[in-house]
Amino acid sequence: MISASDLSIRNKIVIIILSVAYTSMFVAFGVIIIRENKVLKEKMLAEATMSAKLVGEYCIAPLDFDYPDAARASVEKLSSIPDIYNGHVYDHNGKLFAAYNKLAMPDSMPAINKYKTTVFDDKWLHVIHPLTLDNAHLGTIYLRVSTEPLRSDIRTLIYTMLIINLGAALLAYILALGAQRIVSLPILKLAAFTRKIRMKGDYSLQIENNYAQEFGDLYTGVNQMLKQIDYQRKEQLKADKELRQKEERFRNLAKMLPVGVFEADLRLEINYANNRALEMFGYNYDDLIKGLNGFDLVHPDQQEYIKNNLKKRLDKKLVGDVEYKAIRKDGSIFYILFNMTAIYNNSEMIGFRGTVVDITARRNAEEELISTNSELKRTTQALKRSNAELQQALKEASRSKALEEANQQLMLREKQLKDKQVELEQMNAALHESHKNTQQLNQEILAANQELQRKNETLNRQKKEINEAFEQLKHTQLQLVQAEKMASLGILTAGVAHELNNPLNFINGSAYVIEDYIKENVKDNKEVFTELINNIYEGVNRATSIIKSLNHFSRSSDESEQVVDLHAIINNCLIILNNQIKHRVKVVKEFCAEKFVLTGNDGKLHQVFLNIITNSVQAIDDDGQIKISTIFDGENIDVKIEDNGCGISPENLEKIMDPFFTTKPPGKGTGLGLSIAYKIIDEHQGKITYHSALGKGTIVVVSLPAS
Amino acid sequence: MFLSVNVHICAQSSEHTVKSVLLMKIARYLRWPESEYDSNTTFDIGLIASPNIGHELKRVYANGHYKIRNKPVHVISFADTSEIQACDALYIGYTNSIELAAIVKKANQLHMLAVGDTPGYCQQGVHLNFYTEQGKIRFEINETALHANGFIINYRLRNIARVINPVERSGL
Repeated sequence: MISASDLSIRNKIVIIILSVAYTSMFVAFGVIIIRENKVLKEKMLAEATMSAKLVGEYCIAPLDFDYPDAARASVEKLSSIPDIYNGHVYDHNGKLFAAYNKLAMPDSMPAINKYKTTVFDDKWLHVIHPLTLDNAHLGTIYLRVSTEPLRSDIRTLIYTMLIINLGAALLAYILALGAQRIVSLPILKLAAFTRKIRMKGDYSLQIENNYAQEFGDLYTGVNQMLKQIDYQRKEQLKADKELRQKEERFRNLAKMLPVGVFEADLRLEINYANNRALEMFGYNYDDLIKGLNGFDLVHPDQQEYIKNNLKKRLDKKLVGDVEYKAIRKDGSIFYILFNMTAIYNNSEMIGFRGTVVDITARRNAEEELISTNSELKRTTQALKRSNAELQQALKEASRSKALEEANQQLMLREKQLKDKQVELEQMNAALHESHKNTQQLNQEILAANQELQRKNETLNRQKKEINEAFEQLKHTQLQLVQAEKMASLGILTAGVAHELNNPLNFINGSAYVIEDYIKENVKDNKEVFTELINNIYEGVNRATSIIKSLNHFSRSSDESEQVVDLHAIINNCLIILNNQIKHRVKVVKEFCAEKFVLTGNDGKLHQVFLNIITNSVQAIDDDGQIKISTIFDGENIDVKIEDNGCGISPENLEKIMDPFFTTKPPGKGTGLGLSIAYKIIDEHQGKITYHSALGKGTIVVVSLPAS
Repeated sequence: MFLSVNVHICAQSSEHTVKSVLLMKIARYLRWPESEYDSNTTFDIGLIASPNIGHELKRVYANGHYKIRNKPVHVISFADTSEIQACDALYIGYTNSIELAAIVKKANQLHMLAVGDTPGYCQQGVHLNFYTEQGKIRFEINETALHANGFIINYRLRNIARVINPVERSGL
């Protein structure tokens, strides 16, 4: 029987291709047949069920009204369908109601009792369909349908598929033959080439490569492999030759060596020995070929010793040179110095290689040396004794005087030197101590310096904090003084205003009464009285204005969101200062058309402008002019107050905003006015600017943001 | 003579029982025209011209076991045509053709199913008429009259009934 491995590659390829193709075809064939069979069955079942439903539909009323003739007429219509051989209608009791039989039923049992559901058997399809009306079961229709057309279709399909498969199989065979040629030809060519190389043993040959893809790669790989084999073979031959030469050289050297060289296996069976080794033991090459064991060459007294050493060597323990008592072929005893190392083959110990030196002569020399040594010892002892005697004689000689003096001088000198040395050592120790102290002192100074620096920094920080606190204190004091002053002023003015209002009311009321009286009763000098009465009214009005103005200053509210009118404030200030201004200073007002209204603190802003205008008034010694103008540029409101007074020197101009700075005589100013004004304007997000020339006058501009 | 009368009565009673039950079955294959009377909770059968079935109809449907159109049956007797009121069905006894025409007219007006068991009634406009054939009770329908009165006939009923005056259907 031929196994698959015996087949040629051509046949293998053909078989593989055909196996795959045929398997695929038959699987596809099977799937198609099964699927087609299923589809045809489903189709047949659907058609038969439809027929049963249709005929059954026409049998419902006959069943209901017990009209078997009508049912029969409906069932007999099935004769138009050739595949339906039997159609039975059963009533709800299972009793045959109407029937159509193209072919007699095979057995006597009613189909309704035999077939409970629709079913296929070998040759027939048995359809069972219930007949119902309004969910009431009236009966059942049964159809027996021949499956011959179905089987005929399947048979036709199978025959068709077989023919197609046979054609496909033939085509696959032809294609497989073609394919195997494509695949096997390069392989067979390669096989023939390798056979040629094997027969000739010539690895320098190269196969012609006409292929691409895998075969091209294979051929290229084979050619490269052959090149490498050829190169390695040549290298191997060269190395073998060199090795043989080396071996010959070492063999010759071994022959010439004065030392015995041998090789033995693990049982110490000697398989190589040089001439010297054989001579040493009195053997020749014939004896070696016959077989020599290392144990036989050692004296029986030392058999255990050599075995122990051999065991150590097998255990890879260091043994080194060992001396043995050896036996020659003729039985004579001699001494050898023996050393050997293990021979390995791929890390496996396979034997020993060693050297043997005849040390009999050396042993003899050693023994002779020992004898000589003993003699020498004896001589040495004799010499020692003579020496002692000589020493004694010398001691006696050294007792002479001259020697003694010299000795004393030497001792004195030695003592001096020793004292000097002690002194030097003491000085050195003192110096060392001093140096050590200096270093310690330095460290202490450094530490003190650092501490001092830290304290200095702390002091500076504290000084800065004290300065800041002092500044804060100054501001606080200023505010306290001002607040106290304003509070006192407020109380005072409020009291004065209240007290003045009453008498003014008396005066005003009385004036009205007097005016009426004069109008009615006085005939003469009526104009004079009228003017006098008007003067009273004018006086009362002016006094009322002053009181109203004073009331503005007495308000001590801290509210910063009051609606204030700058023009009214300036007018109030001018009313208050009227006493200082009149008959002396001409006040020119150039107020802009817009009414200045902004949010701020009414009382504080009164204070600002009162201070500034007061300064201007006090700057004018005799006669002068103060011009107050207001400008609105859309964002800011500028109030410009210029006087033609004495002016401020440049050095003083820098300090006028400082608290407690004043050039006024005592009682006329505290030096706080402008400082407070500056602070108030700052609170209102405004600014004050000064321009002054000594002897010409001063211009103060207060700029405030419009609401 | 007495026995013969009894047998006759029994035979007649069986025939009327069958007709009563057939009426219930036929009703399953008919759809009544829509009318106000549909909301009635009983299936009313009127009796006119003293049909012999009257007594049996009352007996069969007396206990409510049998229903027509899922309603219990109520049988009403009318003395003459003028008394006829709206019912589901009107069972007509033997009468002359003039009286019959008046009754049928009334039945059509009130959308009632006109039922009879006298030969030739269907030809005279009665909707459903029972007859006997080879000892079995069969029925005939006047398809045109039923159709004209708004009744819809199930094709299954039409398949087993004798159709008088079939409705002409235009082939499409």
